[in-house]
Amino acid sequence: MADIQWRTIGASVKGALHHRNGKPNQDAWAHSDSFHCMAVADGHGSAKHQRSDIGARLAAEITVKLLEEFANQPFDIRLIKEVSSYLPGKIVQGWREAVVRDHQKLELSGDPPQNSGEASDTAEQNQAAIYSLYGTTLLAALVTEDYALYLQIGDGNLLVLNDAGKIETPLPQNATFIANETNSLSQANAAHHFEQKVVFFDYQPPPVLISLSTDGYINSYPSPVEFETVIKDIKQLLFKQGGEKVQAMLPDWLDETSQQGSGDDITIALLYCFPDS
Amino acid sequence: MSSLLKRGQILHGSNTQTAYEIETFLGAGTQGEVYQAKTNGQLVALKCYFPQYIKTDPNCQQRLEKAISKGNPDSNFLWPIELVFTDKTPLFGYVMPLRADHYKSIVDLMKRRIDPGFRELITACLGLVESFLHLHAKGFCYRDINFNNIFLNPQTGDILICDNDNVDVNGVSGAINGTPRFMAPELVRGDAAPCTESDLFSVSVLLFYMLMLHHPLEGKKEADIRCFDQAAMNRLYGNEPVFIFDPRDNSNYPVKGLHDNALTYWPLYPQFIRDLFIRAFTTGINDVQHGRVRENEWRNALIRLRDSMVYCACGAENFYDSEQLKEGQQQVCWSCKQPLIYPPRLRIENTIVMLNHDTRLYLHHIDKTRRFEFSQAAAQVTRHPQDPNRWGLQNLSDQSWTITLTDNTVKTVEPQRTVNLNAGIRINFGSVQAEIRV
Repeated sequence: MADIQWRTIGASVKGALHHRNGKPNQDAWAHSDSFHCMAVADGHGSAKHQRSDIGARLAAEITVKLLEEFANQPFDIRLIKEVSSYLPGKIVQGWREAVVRDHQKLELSGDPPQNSGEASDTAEQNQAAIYSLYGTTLLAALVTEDYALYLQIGDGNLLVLNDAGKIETPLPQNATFIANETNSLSQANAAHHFEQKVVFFDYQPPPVLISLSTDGYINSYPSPVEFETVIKDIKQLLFKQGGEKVQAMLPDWLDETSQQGSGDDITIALLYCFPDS
Repeated sequence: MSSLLKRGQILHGSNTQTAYEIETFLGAGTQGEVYQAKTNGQLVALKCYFPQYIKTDPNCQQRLEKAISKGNPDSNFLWPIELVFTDKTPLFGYVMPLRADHYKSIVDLMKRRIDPGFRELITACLGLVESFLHLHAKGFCYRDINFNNIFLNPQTGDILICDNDNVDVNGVSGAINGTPRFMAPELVRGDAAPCTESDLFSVSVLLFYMLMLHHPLEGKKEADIRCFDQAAMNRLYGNEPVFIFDPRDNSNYPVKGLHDNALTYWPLYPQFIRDLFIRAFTTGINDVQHGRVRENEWRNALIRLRDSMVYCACGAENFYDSEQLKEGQQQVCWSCKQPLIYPPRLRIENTIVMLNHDTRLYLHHIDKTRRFEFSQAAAQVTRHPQDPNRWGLQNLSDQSWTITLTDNTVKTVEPQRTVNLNAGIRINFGSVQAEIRV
């Protein structure tokens, strides 16, 4: 395992619709230079979540930082699953603290949120309304020599390509939401709504590629099968042309995909390793 | 992704030589893989161990053989039926009953994928403590009680206990000492081997989780930990465990916004339940031998809790709290915040059963010699067929009751007949006396 080199590439582009109506890119992604981890977040948009672009950025950055700290701990390997179960709570806590700091900073600088039409009666409701302004989904992955850790709250796609060329979805696909509703870092008891999984490499080989993407990407295709084909194609390109070239081309591909597809912001982050890379 | 066995592969039982044919892969854990298998037209679950795991747990086979020979403590356990071996490889495992799909995990409860009512939840808690009582009575210790091993039917509160291959004779050291979040502090610190007393602590944690949807030791101290590491876990659960509702130490009180479930659910329960949890996580932490709440205490408290349930006019389930009433406090509904209006209640010796529209009494309530028997209703609250404002208690048992009215008139209530729910009526069930209060 020691000679396997993991690399990360990724990009986030403003959706074609957001270009037209002057809205910012409400997606964000972050990755670590020291550890093999990455995160992708999709701010909810709309007036109620008008700072969700900031919320998404904070979520991705904080998560990567926490995953770095997690990967840096000398845990007994048998406890990884147990200890990782605290990550959702710590992510929610870290994100909320950062959100409150950002909110206070903007209030002081005279940039209060535009009225979203929802009056709050209590301090508790006020707090919930602040979190909601920054509401976002989150996907994250960490790979070490011994295991892969996957985390998700809300929509988006976490796909894993194994060495046999098969796409797997390690986390359960949440189908309980309708009409664009999704779980969010801003909701009450958010930590309980995370899906997470630790996959050890004792009995199965590590994947060759892990893909995190916001729903703007999959929604640009008629069905999940076409989307999976794109992920497999990207893997082929990475294999043939190398990460730098693919990284350089990625924003243009995503732009084009958004224009011809969902019109939504699109973000993808990829962790990959090829035996000879 | 399965790696050990293939569809159609046959494994043979060590006791019966029965052939088990692998059908589908169900899942994998750190110890091995679980498959659905078929034998004589019946479906079973078959767990096959990873060879690498067996190296770390050399007593596994011996432990399983012991469990199989001693037999199932009760039918809630998906207990090992027999060991199975492959023909040409050194793989081995065991077969057990298959878990039906309508049983959901406690994780589903935490994530609100299932939303059982309080009655079903309490019934599930009761099932758990009774099963662990039966397990301990057989001289076993479960060693790894945690919410991944427990499943419940949200419609009925029936439970199933899985992963019984960790069960061992009480007090024996082994490969499995538990899951840190559920382990007794002395085990987290490495001071003791798993035993009945450490199981009792884990049972209390599990009950707290099920009723409060939160961990009893995760409050401010947990919130103050930026990144969770092993030292933090040892501190929180082993070296400095503090109950989040310790009445004498608020240093670990739940934090609003982070531990909302605990803050929401704790005040909903009557004082006698909160007192028991306080004992479990204060003296129960320090006094391993005598301080822990035993299964029978939980059993009595949970039955009392279920009997305390009342419905608010808004439909929400609440609990009658006699101690709150004694202090002159008006109980309000947790949901609509309106004062609770109590239905008639039955005082049976020292306990109270609230007589809701759907209340049923069991042999447990009316026959001293048949405590904890809930299989068949012995009485039920019914509405008068002609007058919807009149309610009664129908005798569903095969024994007549003797009732004494407030004017001291004595009457007999034959099986299937009904006694009106009027204040002051005393019912003689035979070995138990009761009085209706309104």
